Amino acid sequence: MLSHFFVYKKMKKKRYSTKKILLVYSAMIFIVVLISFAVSMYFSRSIKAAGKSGESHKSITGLDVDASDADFNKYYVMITSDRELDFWKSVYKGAFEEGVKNGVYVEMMGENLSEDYDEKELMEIAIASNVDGIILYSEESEEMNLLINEAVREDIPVVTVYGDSANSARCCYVSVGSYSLGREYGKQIIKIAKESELSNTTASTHMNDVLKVVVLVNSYSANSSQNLVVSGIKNVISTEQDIQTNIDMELAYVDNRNTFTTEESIRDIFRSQETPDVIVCLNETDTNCVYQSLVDYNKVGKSLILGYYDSESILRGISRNVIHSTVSVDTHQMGVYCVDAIKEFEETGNISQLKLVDVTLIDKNNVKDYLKETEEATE
Amino acid sequence: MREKHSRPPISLQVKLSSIFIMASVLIFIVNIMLVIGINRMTGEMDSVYRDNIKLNELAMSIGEVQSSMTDYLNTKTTDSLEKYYKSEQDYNKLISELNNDVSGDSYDLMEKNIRNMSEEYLQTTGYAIEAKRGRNVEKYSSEYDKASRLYNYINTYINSLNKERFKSNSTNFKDLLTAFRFFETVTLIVMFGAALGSTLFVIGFTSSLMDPVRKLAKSADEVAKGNFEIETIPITSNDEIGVVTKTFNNMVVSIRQYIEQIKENMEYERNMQEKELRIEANLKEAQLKYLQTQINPHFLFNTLNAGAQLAMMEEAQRTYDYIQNTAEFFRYNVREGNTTVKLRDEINLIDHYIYILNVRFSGDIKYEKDIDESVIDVLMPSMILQPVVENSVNHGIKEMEGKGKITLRVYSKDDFVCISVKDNGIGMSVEMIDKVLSGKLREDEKPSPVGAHGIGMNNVINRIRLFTDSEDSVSIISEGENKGTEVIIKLSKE
Repeated sequence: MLSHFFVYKKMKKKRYSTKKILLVYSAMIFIVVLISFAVSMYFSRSIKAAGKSGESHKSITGLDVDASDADFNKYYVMITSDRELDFWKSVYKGAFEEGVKNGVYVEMMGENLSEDYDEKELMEIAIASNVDGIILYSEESEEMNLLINEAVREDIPVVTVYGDSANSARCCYVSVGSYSLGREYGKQIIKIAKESELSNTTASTHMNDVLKVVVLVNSYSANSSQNLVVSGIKNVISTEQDIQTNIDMELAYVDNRNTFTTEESIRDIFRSQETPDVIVCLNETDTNCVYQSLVDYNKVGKSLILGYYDSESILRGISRNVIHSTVSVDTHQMGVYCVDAIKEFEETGNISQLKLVDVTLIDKNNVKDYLKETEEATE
Repeated sequence: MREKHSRPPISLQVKLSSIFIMASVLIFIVNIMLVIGINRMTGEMDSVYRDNIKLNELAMSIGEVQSSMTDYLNTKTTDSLEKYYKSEQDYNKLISELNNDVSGDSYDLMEKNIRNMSEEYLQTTGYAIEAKRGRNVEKYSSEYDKASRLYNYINTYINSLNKERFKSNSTNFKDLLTAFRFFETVTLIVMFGAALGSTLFVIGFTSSLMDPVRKLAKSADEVAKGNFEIETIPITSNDEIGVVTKTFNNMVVSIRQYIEQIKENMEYERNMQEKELRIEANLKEAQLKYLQTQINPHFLFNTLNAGAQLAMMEEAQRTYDYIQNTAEFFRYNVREGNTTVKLRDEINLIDHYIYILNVRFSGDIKYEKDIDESVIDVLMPSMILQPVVENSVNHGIKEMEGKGKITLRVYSKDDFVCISVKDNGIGMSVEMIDKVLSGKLREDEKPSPVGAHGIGMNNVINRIRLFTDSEDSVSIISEGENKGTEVIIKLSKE
């Protein structure tokens, strides 16, 4: 009654003509339609955004390369031992970026799978999946050779990287120059010997000191590249006449058959043997393991590590004086070479058997530059 | 207003219906929007897990292929073979729907791998079945091994893809859910807004419709209370209410007019009644005065008649005439009921009266008559002329010792009949005339009535005025002292 009265009063004050009321009415309908339209716009937009975020290329190793819009016509896979290593991530990144440029989608095989397959299984999958090309880290083994040969029979070109299967039908091998790498290690060993002689002469006179060098090699592979490295080291040491120190070089075999044996083997070396003066590591895992073992067994300063690869932790090891020096392999270039090799093979059917990437030495003097780089990269 | 009238009238029914329809349409539109929105949402929600459903079907299908193949290799029954062929066909159909193109999407690539591996797998199982038929044990067991490996790989791929899809779909679903909640809120707000809007709209519209009715009711109430002095209600609409309002306005105006007319009539009637009363009162007064002065007129009249007969028998002609005139004079006075007489009768009475006076005063009064005979039948109140003449005689010429002269003239002027009684006596001052005409002459100012009947001029003037309904029906003219006085009475001819 009161509200009725109120409305009546209000109406009296403003007389609403039919035209005005119709105007208000159509305005109301217009607003309703407008709101609905806006909501549906917002809705379809959010759906689109959701779809995009769900399906975007977020898979492998956190690459920030947006490949979802690129146009691909080839599909290569990369098969490595340990996908989580910075070394392989970097190689893959180089391969992927090169692939994007050439219309090739390069996949880190096994990345999206719920089960962990080894290289041979992944190789079988790749062959069955009829991919357009395989980039393979291989350690000389009969089974792998067979698989590579089978892939080649299926017209899938295989490029080995870093580790070779020289007796297979692979079309190309991309690696560091192992012999020159060995020579680089050798030079470092000589340098260490000279430094210790210098410090010894000032402190006391221990003539004909022995510098014990251990080179870690994988026990279960007929990998020719580590043999090349070792012969490279031997070559340098034997030709070096300028030192009095006897350099006693041995090979220590590291069991690399599965994921955890490497670490155990390395710890065994420290437990069983006399602590070597210099430990030469030929891959990233070994370097990390030795580095950690030295810290754990409190032998920092007693042994010097000649590392491999320039991951951040290794670089920090150098800056903390645990690792004497390391070699930086241009992993990006390695990845690029792999893709280029397959591409070239597809186009020409013929390709040189070996492609070598650049190697750089990192020690205390230039480690800061690399640390900065990696920091920038991570940022 | 005029504009509105030129439009065809919209009936109240149409207006009310359109209010209802418009409100309904508003709500309807909101609901339609809601339904469309919900439809779309459900569609999207459905599609979120469509991929997962597809992959599950794929996994089930390949499981059947594997089990039927294993079954056949174990038992070599036709049933299992049939089952194998059927499941193989089904699976083939399913994988043909999978992606086979290289794209930047890793999930698509996994689909492609599944497809390629599945083709290889089916080929291998085919070889195994064939080898089993050919009883090539070595071959079918190796093919079976390969198929089993592939089967595992494919399953792993399907599971992985399923998991990845589920992961991303879950994110999608979460986003969708957020969107859905937002949609829900907005819808709720819009619905409330529409309900409120349409309520206000209906209230506004009906109010604008009912406003004139309310005004009409208020005005009608006023009229019912007796107040006709209300403003006319403005006509805003062209519908039935407008018509009723217009009619009401006209009705009020008409009622006002009727009341006005009735009031006028009543006033007139009242005036008429008053006049009649006053005429009667004056006559009664005259008669009363007369009766006071005349003791018994019938007795006197009879006495005079007897005297006249006696004079006749004695052959005294002049006495007879005198008594006869006197008798006539009194007879006129004692007539009953005739308040209105003809002028002729009044003139006759004057003749008798003058004769009597001349006998009394031995012919001292000269009496002249100038009468227009055509108008002497006009009606007038009785007992008018005699008092006037008496007044002239008493105040005008009584003292003039035989030189007095009375002139009676009756003539018509325009629509009136004029009766003039003129003497050549002492005359009247202007003040005196005014006082006499306005009836303000006080008793002591009146000259003492000598032998008068006592019907004063005041009474005469009042009766003439009442009869003629005109204030100037009696006029007195005197040119000054000793120059005589003339009394003129104007009667309407009608």
